[in-house]
Amino acid sequence: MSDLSWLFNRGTLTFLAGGLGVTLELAAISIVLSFIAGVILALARLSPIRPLSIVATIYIEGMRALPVLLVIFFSFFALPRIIGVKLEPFTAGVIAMSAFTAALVAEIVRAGVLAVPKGLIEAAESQGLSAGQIVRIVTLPIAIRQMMPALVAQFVTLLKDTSLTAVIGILELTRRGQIVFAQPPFQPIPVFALIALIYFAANFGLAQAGRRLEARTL
Amino acid sequence: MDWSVLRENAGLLGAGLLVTLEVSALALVLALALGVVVATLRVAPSAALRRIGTAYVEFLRNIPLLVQLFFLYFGLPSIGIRLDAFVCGVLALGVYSSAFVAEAIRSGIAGVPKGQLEAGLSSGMRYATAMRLIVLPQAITKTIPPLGNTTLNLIKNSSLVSTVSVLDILGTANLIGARTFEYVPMFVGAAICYLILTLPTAFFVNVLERRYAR
Repeated sequence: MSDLSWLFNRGTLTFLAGGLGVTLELAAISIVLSFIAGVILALARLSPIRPLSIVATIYIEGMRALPVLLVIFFSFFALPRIIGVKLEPFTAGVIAMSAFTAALVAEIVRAGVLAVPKGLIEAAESQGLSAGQIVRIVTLPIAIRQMMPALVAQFVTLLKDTSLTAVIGILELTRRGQIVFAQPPFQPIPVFALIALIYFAANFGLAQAGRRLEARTL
Repeated sequence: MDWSVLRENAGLLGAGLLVTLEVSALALVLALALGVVVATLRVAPSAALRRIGTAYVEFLRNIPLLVQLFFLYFGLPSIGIRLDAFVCGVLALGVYSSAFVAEAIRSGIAGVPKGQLEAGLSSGMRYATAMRLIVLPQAITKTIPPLGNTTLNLIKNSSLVSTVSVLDILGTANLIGARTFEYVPMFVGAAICYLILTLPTAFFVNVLERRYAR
């Protein structure tokens, strides 16, 4: 255990850093996609058009009741058989993480929108603001402020959950860690300790960035 | 797609459901026990104890469960501790979830007005007695919604034990899927199994939440 030069050398560290890059890339793309899809789902659920609202509700509640690992496996092994196109592991990972997180984002967005007091919107209306102005000046700023802490927590969860895509062969951080400890001198503990620290730092950084963003929107 | 594979393997999937239930129940007991201890550390009067509690929660919450599970399953044998995959799964899931349980309880305790504890102390109770008789009973009702969510997440997260070859719902579906190439029916069957577990739990949590949200 004393000599860790097999782990702390340029080649191995570059290999692991590349894994962190894949992890962050996967998380970043999924955050953007799940946010867009989540907002659309939330608006659909809040919509007065019944069929639209019902479909969105079923999607959201169904997705929330399933393990994300099942969604990842489904996306990689089953989805290609339904759509008839083979998916690269990375693509399947992005689809799974985005489709899953969108349902959770949708609930956060919905709660944020519902938290805007009706009186404020009525007041804005009575002052002669247009519908677009009301959304932009009144509803959104209040809703976003309400949503930020929950959204950041959700994206930290997403970043952690990207580790699950190791099981479909994406060469992200966890998978690369497995590859490193499967080689001589076959010592998993230092590898996992290092990887755990990297995840910790990444999540901590994401949470901090979220807090700073929160402070600015307030 | 051949859906008969689902009917033929319904028994195996059912056995997987029992394994998922077993892993979840054992991990939940562990998570509750550890979580209560850590939550009391988090609100302890001593700053050093509070710091230990905070470190425990932040450390476990910010490291992926899969990494923690792999640490137990692949890491411990290298220092001579060989645990069964099922035991590793229960331990990893229980310890990971205990951080969330601790946070739920801590926020519940923080929601009890300070005057309650002070009143207990000023009438001659010791800290532990005042906590046990006055603060904790009030905190429990406030912790029910977050604890319910933690339980739901725990059931869903139990699917990770399939990655260390435990044949829970997902492990079984995956195994049969790989053998028959009928992934679609098997994963749909697995999804139904998880819904059977999570939807009633979610419903039960909602009922409790409504009853105690007064």
